[in-house]
Amino acid sequence: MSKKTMAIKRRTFLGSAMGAASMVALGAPAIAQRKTVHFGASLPLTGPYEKVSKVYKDAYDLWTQTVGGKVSVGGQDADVKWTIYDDENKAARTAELTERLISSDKVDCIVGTYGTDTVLAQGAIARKYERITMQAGAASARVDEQIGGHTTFTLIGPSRNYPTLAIDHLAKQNPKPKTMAIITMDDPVYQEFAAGAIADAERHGIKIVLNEVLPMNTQDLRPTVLKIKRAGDVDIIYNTGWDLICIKLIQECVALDVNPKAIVGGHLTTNPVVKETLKGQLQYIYGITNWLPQMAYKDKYYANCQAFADKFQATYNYAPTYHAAMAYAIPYIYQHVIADGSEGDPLDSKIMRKRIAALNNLESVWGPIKFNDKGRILTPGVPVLQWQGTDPKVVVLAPDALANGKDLYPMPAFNKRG
Amino acid sequence: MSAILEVTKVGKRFGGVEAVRDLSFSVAQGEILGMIGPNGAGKTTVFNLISGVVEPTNGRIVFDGKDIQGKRPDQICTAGIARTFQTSSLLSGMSARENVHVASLFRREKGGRTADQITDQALALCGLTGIAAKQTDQLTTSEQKRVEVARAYATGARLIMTDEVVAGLNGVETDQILDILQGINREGITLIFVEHDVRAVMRVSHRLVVLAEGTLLAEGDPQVVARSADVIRVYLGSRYADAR
Amino acid sequence: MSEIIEIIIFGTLRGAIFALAAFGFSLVLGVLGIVNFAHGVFVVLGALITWSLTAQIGINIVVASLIAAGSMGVLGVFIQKVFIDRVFKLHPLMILVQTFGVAVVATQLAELAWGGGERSLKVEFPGPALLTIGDIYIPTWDIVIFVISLIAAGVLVMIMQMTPLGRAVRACRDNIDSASLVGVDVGRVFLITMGICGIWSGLAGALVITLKPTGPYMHFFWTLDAFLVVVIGGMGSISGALIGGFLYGIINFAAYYYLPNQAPAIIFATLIALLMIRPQGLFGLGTTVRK
Repeated sequence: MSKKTMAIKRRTFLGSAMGAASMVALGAPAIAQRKTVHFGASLPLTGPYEKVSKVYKDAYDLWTQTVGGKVSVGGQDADVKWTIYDDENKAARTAELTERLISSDKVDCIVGTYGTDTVLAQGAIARKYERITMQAGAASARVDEQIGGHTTFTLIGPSRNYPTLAIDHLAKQNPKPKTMAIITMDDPVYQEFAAGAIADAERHGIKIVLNEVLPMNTQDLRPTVLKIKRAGDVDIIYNTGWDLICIKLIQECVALDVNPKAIVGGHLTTNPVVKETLKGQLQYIYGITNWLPQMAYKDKYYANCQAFADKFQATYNYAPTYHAAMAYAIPYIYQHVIADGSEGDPLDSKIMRKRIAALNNLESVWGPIKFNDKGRILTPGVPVLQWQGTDPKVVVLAPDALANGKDLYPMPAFNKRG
Repeated sequence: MSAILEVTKVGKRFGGVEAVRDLSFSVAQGEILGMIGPNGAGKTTVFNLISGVVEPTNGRIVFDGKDIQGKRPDQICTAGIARTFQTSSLLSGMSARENVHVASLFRREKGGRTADQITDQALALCGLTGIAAKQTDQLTTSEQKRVEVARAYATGARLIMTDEVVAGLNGVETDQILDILQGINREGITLIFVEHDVRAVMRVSHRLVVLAEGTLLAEGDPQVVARSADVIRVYLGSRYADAR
Repeated sequence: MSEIIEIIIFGTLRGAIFALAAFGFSLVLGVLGIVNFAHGVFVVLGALITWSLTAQIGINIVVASLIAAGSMGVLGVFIQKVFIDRVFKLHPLMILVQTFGVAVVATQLAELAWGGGERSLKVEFPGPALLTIGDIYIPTWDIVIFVISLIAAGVLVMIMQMTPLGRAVRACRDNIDSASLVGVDVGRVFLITMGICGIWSGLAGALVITLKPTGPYMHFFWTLDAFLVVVIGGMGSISGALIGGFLYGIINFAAYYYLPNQAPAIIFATLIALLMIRPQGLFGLGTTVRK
């Protein structure tokens, strides 16, 4: 272990020495020897996060294609190389694979896995080697507490704040909602969403009549919806779960004729499967989303999010979710910080850490990039949307800066629609 | 009479054990061949070899002019050989009638009759008409044995092999089932009759083969074979044979 | 009180689908004596084929369901002939491994054809969407599906009881050696059994996709559900599987209603208890030992 640390230090030393030497000799930027930049990650490619992992993998790949497989390292072209392993969503496996990525594969830039425990495991190993990681797969506050800032930078906003804008927004509606039922998936990050939603609701005097915690592999939402129905008047149903849970929730609300004033479908209502499945039933459903192709962010290669989304769709034959923009932004950020060789080896962890921490609203398709001292991206909150029209389309309702329409509230009963 | 079944130099080894060795015998069309021998003589193995449950290690088995060794049990059954079992092999969860019916479904020659008609005839022949609806687990031993016989008969077999068909039966029941078998034989169906009860064997058999240690010990007229010293030795021990 | 009645009603409605998906599993376990780990593939592919025929090609859903069920029958025969038959004489464990492999490969192929995501079909059914019994609302479509499941069970029972084919299948379920010695071609019965299994499970899939989104990866849930239904109802018997399905539906629904977070544990604990008290299942035909 100490040998490996030595090796890294020696490389750093040699790198800077050579950099200094060539600067002296040629007066040119350093690190002429570097032929490749090696990116490495593990992802839960099999298991419950299989689908979302594929989005991450494709987004990493899209970045590589976008840059033509070459990036500049301290002014010199280098080939991009990737090594991605399957961590099966197991923390121990992730630790082992991260160890392998650092010691045997000798990766330069570590990008995130997906899921809180695996991200924490990855960070723990990276920390041991004094390396950095950049991740977009764990919103949990535990990441900030344990590895944030010194080891890990996180592109996703804190999960605690996910529901805040949505609940603030709903609390302003007329008639004001008084009660809320919440569906929580039994996983730390979803528990944090739910805790945030409950705190936000209580701040507005909205009573939580039911907080239903469901196992991750729940197949049937009817028992849950029956329980909501039997809980009496429920003004808001808030789903913290993913797209499939949202679909089943709404299907069962239709089936049992459960009609709250508003249903918040969660953070994945924009996944195409939701509209494909629910069609007109998606009308009036609220959602939250970090990212939409309509948003006006851009980077060096894409003039707006729509251009990025179109390219993604054309390349992988499915529409990108917010994960795609977020994952794509990770190598993009690395690319930005390693381009400059003026302070020595730009791939040195210390230099990368310093530069990433210093980013001041770097433009990207994921929005402006700036981190707090815990390595967490600074975001204004997660925008609120509603599906409107008989062929439902997304209308952004909050924050005001992004809003392009007005609420349809309260939602008419399912069986009283044309 | 021509031979319907010819067993030629058949052997069967199970691992290192030679259950049947160089066995040859033939069965004539229309006869009742009794087969006796002490425990472990290989009688059941011979049945298993003929009915296709196990494949011979060597030798030929010719039924009706065609080689049948190595064929599957159902193929041998449809070719015309059926058997009954020492311990009941009836299908549980089915009635007596259904057991017989299953057997009638796959026979090659139905002679213009339906499976139902064949089933009814087989049941009547074996005196089972009145209890046809009984579930197999409600049948007495005697009834079970007769369902086994009716089932073998319903397959349309031209050769039926019965294994210990009178074991466990009282005198009246034994007489009844032997009468049924002789009735079946009168229809031209050949029988191989394996039995421990020598009296029953002597009563129905036209000819007798005696097996010992997997090979043929004696063959011929029942009365003559039963008196031969070799046979008495394997059955009763050498003391009795020598004393005669 | 009406809470319990609702749980029983909804559990029973769901149970009919579990039963329909489990009939084939039960038969195959009873007749071939094997646990088919690829079983859920029939359900999932039946669902996705129905989806394609209806949503992509525009075929009437009834016809589409029958085509899907039929093609699952063909797949069942294919799996039996090409895979299971060849290793059948080996250790039963080999069949577990093999059918598991078939499931993995079939899922990968299905993901190539349909993608890894879920699909679902909405059926426009004439008449009211909900029926009310007292103050209980029951979706009409759930009742339609319940009735179709019962009819499918009835047809299967009739085939098993009244036809020569059914007799031969039952004979093999009971005692393969004995069946074979009265002329039943066991190999053919195995093929037919897998065919029947495919058809009925494929039909279950066709109904499932009208109830909830279904994706290729869900095959294992269905294999597991079928297994649990058979553990409750007992292997080999259609009526056992039907009642097993209802009970499993109710246990499942009640567990997710009262203690959702512990539901999987409760369901399995109930099953373990059942296995200890009655290892042959509540309506089993015999011990669950491979013949």
